[in-house]
Amino acid sequence: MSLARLGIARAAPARRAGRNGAGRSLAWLVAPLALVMLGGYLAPLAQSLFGSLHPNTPAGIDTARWTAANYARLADPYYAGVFLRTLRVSLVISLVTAVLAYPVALYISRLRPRAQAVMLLVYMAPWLVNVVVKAFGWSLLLRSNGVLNEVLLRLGLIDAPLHIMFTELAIIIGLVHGHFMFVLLPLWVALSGLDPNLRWAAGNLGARPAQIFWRVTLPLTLPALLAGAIINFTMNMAAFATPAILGGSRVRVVSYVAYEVNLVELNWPFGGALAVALLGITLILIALAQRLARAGGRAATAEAA
Amino acid sequence: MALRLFNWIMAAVMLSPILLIIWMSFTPGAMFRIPLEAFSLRWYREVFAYPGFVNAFFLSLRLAAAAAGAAVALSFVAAYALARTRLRGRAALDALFTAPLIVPAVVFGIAMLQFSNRLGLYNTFFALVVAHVAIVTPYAMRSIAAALRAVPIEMEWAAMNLGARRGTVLLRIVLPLCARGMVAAFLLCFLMSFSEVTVTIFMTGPGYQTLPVRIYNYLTDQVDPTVAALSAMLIGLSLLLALIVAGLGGFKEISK
Amino acid sequence: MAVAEADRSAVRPAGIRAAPVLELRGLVKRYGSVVAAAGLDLAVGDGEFVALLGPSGCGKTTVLRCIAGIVEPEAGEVVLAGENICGKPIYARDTALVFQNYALFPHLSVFENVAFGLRMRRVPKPELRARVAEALDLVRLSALEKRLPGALSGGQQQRVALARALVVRPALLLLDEPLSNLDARLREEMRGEIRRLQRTLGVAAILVTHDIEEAFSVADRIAVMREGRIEQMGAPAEIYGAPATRFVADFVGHANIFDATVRGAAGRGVRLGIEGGIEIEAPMAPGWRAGDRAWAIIPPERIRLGAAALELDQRFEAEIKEVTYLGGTSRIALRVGAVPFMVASQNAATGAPGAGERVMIGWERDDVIARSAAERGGG
Repeated sequence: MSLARLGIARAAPARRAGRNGAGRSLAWLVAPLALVMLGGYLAPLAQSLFGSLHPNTPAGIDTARWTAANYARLADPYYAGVFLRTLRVSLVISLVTAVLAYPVALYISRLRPRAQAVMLLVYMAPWLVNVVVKAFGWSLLLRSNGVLNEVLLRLGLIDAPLHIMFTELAIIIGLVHGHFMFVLLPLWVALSGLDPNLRWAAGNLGARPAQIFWRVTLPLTLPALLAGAIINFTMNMAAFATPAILGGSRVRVVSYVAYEVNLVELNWPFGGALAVALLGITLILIALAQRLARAGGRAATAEAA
Repeated sequence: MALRLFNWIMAAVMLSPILLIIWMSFTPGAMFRIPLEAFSLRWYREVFAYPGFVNAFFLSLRLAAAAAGAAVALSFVAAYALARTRLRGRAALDALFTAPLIVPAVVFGIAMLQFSNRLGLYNTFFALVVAHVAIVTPYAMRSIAAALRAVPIEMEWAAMNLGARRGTVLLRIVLPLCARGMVAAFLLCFLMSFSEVTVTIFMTGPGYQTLPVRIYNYLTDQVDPTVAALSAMLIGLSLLLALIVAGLGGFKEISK
Repeated sequence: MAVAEADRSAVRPAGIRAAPVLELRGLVKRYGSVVAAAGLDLAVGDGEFVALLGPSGCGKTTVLRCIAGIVEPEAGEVVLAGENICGKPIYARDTALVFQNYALFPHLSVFENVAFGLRMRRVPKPELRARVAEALDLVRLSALEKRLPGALSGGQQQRVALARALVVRPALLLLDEPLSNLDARLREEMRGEIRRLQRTLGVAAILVTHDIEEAFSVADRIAVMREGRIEQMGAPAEIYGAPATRFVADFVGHANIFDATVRGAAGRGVRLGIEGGIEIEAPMAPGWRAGDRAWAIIPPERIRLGAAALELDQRFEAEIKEVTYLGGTSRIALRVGAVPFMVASQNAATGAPGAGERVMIGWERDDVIARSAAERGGG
């Protein structure tokens, strides 16, 4: 019998041991943050879910009775209409952003590294500026006596001021601007990670630039585009300050109605149901997006191969 | 060529509302007019004369400092533990710490409104800090985890081999080695907390408002160039912080 | 069990009278299916310098980490200065480890790096200052004490790492491939430096390395490791001159290793049939019988060429295949029948023989190293 076998035989009842000192003793360091997040994040969400399953009474939530009525009320044409509008507006914003961000990302990814950093900072600037401030800036531009109308009138391009404020268009403009970065950045990462040899190889095989774009570049970056667009979409769905300032009560979106229900009507069970519904839609979309992005990734690699 | 032109147009659109605010903040009159001849600092003085803004500014400052400080401290030890151990519930913890990036802020705002009321903490500094810690934690965890990845484990072994206990290793070796990352994380969290509107608006009553919430309420009420002057100052503050964070390399992880 | 006992006594050096500074008993550690230590035994005496030599993946670094406490073994004992230190945390073990990449603290000056261990031990300030100064003096870096490690060359960083480890006066110095990041010239210089420091301070040391020359030039004794156990342990001359297994022979760089069969006795020696057709004589080993499988080494530097071969008791006619000029010596590849030989020959003024020539080669019977192929490990 070899010594090695002996050694292993002797070790048969061995206890499990990891890195010394780095075992269980360190794990408790996660606890403080985990507790804060459980108590300060998860618990409130759970509590709202719980509350949404009970009826609202003038005295507050009646936790003795259970009901699905708050969710049934979401099907009311008014609230269903708000949800549909929010979905529609969010989708339009994502599509517009995707179409606008792609050429920008393509351009930036071909710059020298230093110029890339500067350009990215320009596009990141709106994200760094307070939402309320951004929306205020757009309101200065878009209102009837705002800068845009003034310029267009003086140039003689229009006869009467355009009414953009407090329309869906104002929300779309404000959020395309506000959430641009979330589509641009993943696209830029994907495009700059693209092997330039692929394009040269395609060119070498006789593909014209347009063909290269449609058959090589776009398929390979489609997963990133999709991923960015979905993130963008969920953010549009949840946006509050921008649609509230640029759309106001004339173009109510879900978050605005949720604000009214919770802080004006003080109907928390129903307000909770609105929140849960919004969360549910968001999570379903993210799950869907991940599947699409994976499928897209597979298709892209299959096509490239 | 077309790409280049398009890029410059888009860049102009991106910056236009920001630049417009700054420009308009110098208007001398009470109407929003782009000042072309006369510039005035009148509205900047108005900002400081309005106690609502000044008080809100200091509240925001305290809140952002407390939330960013707590989030960075908690995230540092948590990220260290996650980096150096193989925990069983790791996926669940990761999900918990990144959830605020996925769950819409309105949803959390509503939840926090109801929850803080139930506990009698509505409109309190404590509840605001807890909410903001939760909101900025994903950013803190990401940038600190990245900074920790740059600390070779041999460095810690070496320190322990020389007689340092875990706490000493953390304070005297690991912390100094990722100090840049920690500062970047703090500033990023500060920025996030300072500009947070959606959750905060659900959590605060009329008497106790952070600066962005105060501006929001001011805007729904009346509009005068005071807001432009205040906004211009906020833009300057944000950009200053952002440039420091960028200089510290703090955005590299966020863009991933 | 009998095998293990016999093996352990073989591993314990005869020269150590007092209790060893370090003793490993039946050390076991696995990473999944990879065995890093398979019941390993090792003893290091007071002031002794032992090299753990082996190919990468043989488990030598793991053994070092088990001693330092970075890794906890699954079974076995680590006895340092008479105390089993298994389960003791890293910081409570009286060892000092020099890392392959030095692991200097980049934010601390050279002085503070060296002082770190003393600060952890709460050494009073005046003594601390004196000891750090002494340690820096020992590695000749006193002038650089205010620099940050990043501003030092590789060799200087290496010296700081040594000073940092030695200044705490550990019971045992552990060196994990400390020279592998240096270029060849610096490596040679640092070998001497490490040896000098270890001798001066009289500290027991273990060096982990895959570099044969490094182990030979620095260590009092070498433990050749393979797949988590020690294949052979002994003084450098013993390891090279009397490799116990074919693996050791291969690893320490022997050429002319042949599979052979014992044919029968020949005077005080034995006749071996080399695969490929020739028959040589080798010193007799106890217990050999005709028909046993064996292997044999004829060290290239012991083989004589031409006229010098004529007086030797083993002579063969060979054909030169290739001559590689190496300056002072030449390496000559030959063939005796179908058996390939390698010979190291001093270059004389008269010029070396050329390829295609036929020459006589020869060696003494006692220069042949022959072992039974039935031993453990097999080879």
